[in-house]
Amino acid sequence: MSADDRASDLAVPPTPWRQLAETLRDHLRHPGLAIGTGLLALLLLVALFAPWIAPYPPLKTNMSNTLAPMSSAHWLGTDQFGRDVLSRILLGTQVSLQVAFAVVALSLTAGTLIGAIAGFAGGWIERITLVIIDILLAFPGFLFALALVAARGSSLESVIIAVAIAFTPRVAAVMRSVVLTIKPRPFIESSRAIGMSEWRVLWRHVIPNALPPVIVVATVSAATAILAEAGLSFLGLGVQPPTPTWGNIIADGNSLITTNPWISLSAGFCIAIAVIAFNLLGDGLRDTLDPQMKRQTGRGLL
Amino acid sequence: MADRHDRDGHLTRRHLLALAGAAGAGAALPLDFSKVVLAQGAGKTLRVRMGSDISVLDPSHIFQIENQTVCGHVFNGLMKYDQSTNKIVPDLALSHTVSSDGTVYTFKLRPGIAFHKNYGPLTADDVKFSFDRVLDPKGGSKYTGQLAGLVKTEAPAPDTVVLTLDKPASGFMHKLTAFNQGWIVSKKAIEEMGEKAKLNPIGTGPFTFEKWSTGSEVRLAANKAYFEGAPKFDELLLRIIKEETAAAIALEKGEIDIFYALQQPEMIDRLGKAPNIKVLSRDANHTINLVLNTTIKPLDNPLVRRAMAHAMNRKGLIDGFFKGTKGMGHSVLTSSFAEFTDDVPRYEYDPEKAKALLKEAGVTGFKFEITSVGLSPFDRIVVPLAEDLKAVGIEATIKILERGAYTQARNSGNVQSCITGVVGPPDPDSPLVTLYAKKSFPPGLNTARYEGAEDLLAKAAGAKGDTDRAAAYKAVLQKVMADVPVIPLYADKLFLAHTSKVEGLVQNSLFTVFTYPASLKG
Repeated sequence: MSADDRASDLAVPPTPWRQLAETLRDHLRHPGLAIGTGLLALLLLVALFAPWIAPYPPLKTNMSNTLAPMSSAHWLGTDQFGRDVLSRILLGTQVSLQVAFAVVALSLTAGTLIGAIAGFAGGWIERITLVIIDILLAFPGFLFALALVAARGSSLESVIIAVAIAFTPRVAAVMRSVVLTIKPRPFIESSRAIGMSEWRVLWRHVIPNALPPVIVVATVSAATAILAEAGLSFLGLGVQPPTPTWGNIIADGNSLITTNPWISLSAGFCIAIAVIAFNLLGDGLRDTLDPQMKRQTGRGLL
Repeated sequence: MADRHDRDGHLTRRHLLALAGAAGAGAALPLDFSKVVLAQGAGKTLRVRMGSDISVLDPSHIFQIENQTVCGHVFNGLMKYDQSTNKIVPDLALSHTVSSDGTVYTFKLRPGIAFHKNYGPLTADDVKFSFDRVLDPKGGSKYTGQLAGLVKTEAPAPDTVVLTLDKPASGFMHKLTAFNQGWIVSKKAIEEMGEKAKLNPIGTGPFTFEKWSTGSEVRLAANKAYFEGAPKFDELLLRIIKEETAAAIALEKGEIDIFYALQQPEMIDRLGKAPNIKVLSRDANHTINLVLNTTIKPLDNPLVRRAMAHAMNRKGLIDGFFKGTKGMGHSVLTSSFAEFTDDVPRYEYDPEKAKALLKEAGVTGFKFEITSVGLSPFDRIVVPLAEDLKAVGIEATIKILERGAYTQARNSGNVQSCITGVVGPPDPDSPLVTLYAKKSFPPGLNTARYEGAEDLLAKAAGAKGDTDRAAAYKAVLQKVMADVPVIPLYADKLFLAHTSKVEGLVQNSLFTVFTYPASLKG
């Protein structure tokens, strides 16, 4: 390597892309994060291409081939309507991930805004918001979802709205407490001193700096959202049949657990995988986004 | 190390204490039980699984098989169906005569029958009162229509009841059997208790109503003074276990003795193979039907309805899903009715014919929603049927509603279709009038809003003699199956499982269980 080369290295600042790649590489060194991201990417691919990779149309009934055992034609057998279980599980991925992402998007947006405003504004706004958050937090989330689905009628939207509402106060509570720690910092004071408006300070400095822990909470809530959807579908309050979801596949197989256990078990396995993936991702993000934690846990796991 | 030893020692002591406590409780419990047993006499309890909770125990409002099961044990009727033959035999009545013009029925009551809990002797006034309150439009009874034509009820003597009809009705005796409107209540009890009577049934039956623990169980005690003899066990416990799988396990473990209204084919198969468990089966009096709302286009066109009947692979449903545990329903009358006939227009599975019929009707690809209730198997059976309809170009979707919401939707009369089964006695009017008569909506179950068989139904009601009656009902069936406002999906079969400890039990065709003839071994 010549001195010239080294000089150019020093002269050219790293491009944003290179920086991103480096951060990514750095983050993926965390085993939990790497496994979580990998599993999730796999699930995402399955969800996106489910209609093409499914060996059979997942809604097609075949009453002359009901409850077929596992075979090379039907890897996971068929259900009581002769539908291919594997195809239904693959398509069920769509609903589960849809619920997870929609719930995260909704609760993250609403929770972040509510929490940030409450924490930043202080005073009576904060107190009122806090009381409402506490009431909602004290109310069991699943019960709330049940009530809302019963009132609105069961559909995918109902499930998403119900679970998102149940999670918003959680995100808001975390957001508020993080904002409280950021508010007294010198850079906020400086921003005010140079004449920035309150909204601008909130938007440009407070929220971006408070996001990392909130993102972790939201990721974990994605896992719980998948479980909630499965629970509601199992009770027949989720998505209307014949659309497959992991929850209603378990419900369908429930009465057959002694004779055809694979129907319920395979869907349960998928739920477990998705939940583990989101939890690993959440743990990994927590570790890597927090510089202090990174040293201790991230490397320690390796 | 010493620390750990200490901790271990502590744990052991705690465990010992816990074990001792458990042993103490174990020793105490049987003692307690023996006291209870001694207090009650022989102390035999028959435990029956119910799939759902009870709601109303007033015979004029009953409408649910769990309520009917409880009331069947508490109340009697003037007449009753023989459990095994479905013949009408006297119950509270000693004898009866019918006037030559077929409109005046005179009943003599059995002497010496008393109501439960000291509500006094049964008199003709109670019988008159029971029918009057069903007939009273202010009472809001769901069974007023069943007693249509009964214009006068009289009690000329304490043991004599005279019922007068406006015109001869061939099936009137069916209405007076011990079921729903036919159950005789205590006038004194209803008048004294008012609203409370709905959950405190006072009857003359073999069991008295003792206690209802919401969501968990109903307890009935044997009526030692029952006029046909005291029951052979002391207490009837109806336990609510919603899940069939859980109920099957409870039966296998001997936690319950009887599991009636067994539905899932897998459970029937599993319990049939289990040792020490007997499974009884019998054709039910009802079919499960898809009711099409004939006021909503294009379902108003009989060609479309016939096309739908041809499009649905009902045989496949019975063989594939139900594994042969249901029968084919060619009309809403099953083979357990005396008026049964299979000489009706039939709709074999034929998608090509369905497409041709839709084409003939000039209908292409309409949206069709099947509304069903979130109870197994009714939330399941619609799945393959919707697929079948899609295969002939009908955009079928499914809407599963929770029980309350479903009843509301069905009662509104605005849904395109719903799933209805008329569970009732072997009285042909029970399904036919309920599903096809104009007077049965609103309120009622003719959510097809069908009016095409009014004159034929009237003719059947007025028929004299068995041959006439059979011919008249055949005409009704042929007409309604040609118009198909209601597509029978399958004829139900009833399955009841009991442990080998239970003896003498008879499976009826009513979807309920009547345990009076049963006894417990050991």
